[in-house]
Amino acid sequence: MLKKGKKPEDVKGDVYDKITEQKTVTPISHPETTTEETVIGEKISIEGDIRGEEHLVIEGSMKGNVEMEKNNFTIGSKGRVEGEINAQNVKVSGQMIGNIKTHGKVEITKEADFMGDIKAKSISVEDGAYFKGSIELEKEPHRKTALAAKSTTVATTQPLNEPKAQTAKNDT
Amino acid sequence: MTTPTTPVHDYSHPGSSFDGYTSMMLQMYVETLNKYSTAQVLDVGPVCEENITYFAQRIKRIYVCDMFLRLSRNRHKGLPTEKVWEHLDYAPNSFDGINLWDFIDHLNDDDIGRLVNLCHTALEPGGMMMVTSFEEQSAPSKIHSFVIKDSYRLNFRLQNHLDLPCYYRSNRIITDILSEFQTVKSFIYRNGVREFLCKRD
Repeated sequence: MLKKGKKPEDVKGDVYDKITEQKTVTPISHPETTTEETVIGEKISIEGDIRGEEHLVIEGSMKGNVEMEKNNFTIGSKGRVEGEINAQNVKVSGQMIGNIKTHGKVEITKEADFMGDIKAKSISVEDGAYFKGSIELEKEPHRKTALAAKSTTVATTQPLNEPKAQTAKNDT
Repeated sequence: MTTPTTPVHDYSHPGSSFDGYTSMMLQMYVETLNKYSTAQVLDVGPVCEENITYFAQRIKRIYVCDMFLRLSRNRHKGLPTEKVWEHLDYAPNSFDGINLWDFIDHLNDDDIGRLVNLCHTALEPGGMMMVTSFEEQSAPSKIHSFVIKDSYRLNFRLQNHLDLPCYYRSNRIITDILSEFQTVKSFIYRNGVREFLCKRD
């Protein structure tokens, strides 16, 4: 697990299963500040899963899953990620193949090349983003409750039409 | 064979306006989809945040595959158009709805045939497809996205990054192109937009 202030070369095993290229040794920006953000530099390549409790920015390439439910994950404009992402908020400006799951917001910028499925509370996508995938937004519970209450009220006066049953489809 | 033409109106000039409108087709389409709690819809672009959010809040899942951008990039790279269809690799009967917007205005007759066929396969029986097309005399010279606003209003937003040829066709030719589908309703608006709501039998 990543700790605030640690440099990448201090962190081994569970964070970096394999660093295939490491030409520069300054991937962390502001390790001494309180931003608690780790940056994986352009010339770093990672294979393996990452779990952490601080914000992470990938400017290099990464193949593996990211688990940081309480922190933000960003793929910079030169970053390339292949894997599943579970983070608080996710911003994609680089290339990504894989799925994103978050209870927060997903931001896809116009520089992004994204292929995968997104499940989030909200999403923003800039015009020009190279995008192929699906989006499922969390439905607000209070809306469901309100609709249910309305349905109950209506049901006392007139029967509602049942929605047509649909069979589950394969995600493509 | 329809040949590409140069649109008359350049709405990108300062002071020119390209009026939005209230879409009857969108209303019918969304009201139909609303009946299905597990509805899945494919939007072929251009990628538009407002449209993604609009559908994602109303249906189970919205799929997006920006074919405008893919076609535009293919053209710039000098790749054959056929390559672009590889992106529409969805399984048969995957969707309850397909948003085609004005994509057909940027395809030649052969490519339209391919597109319609792929959409027909990807749509569930009974699924709906909405198609828009500009009349030649009122079409914008640059590609705009149809942006969904409240109360089924559609506005337009310039997509400067897209560069595609334009092909304009008569109503009859378009209905012929869509003959694999049942045309549920069609509309013509004063701003030159034509809408075709189709259904797979």
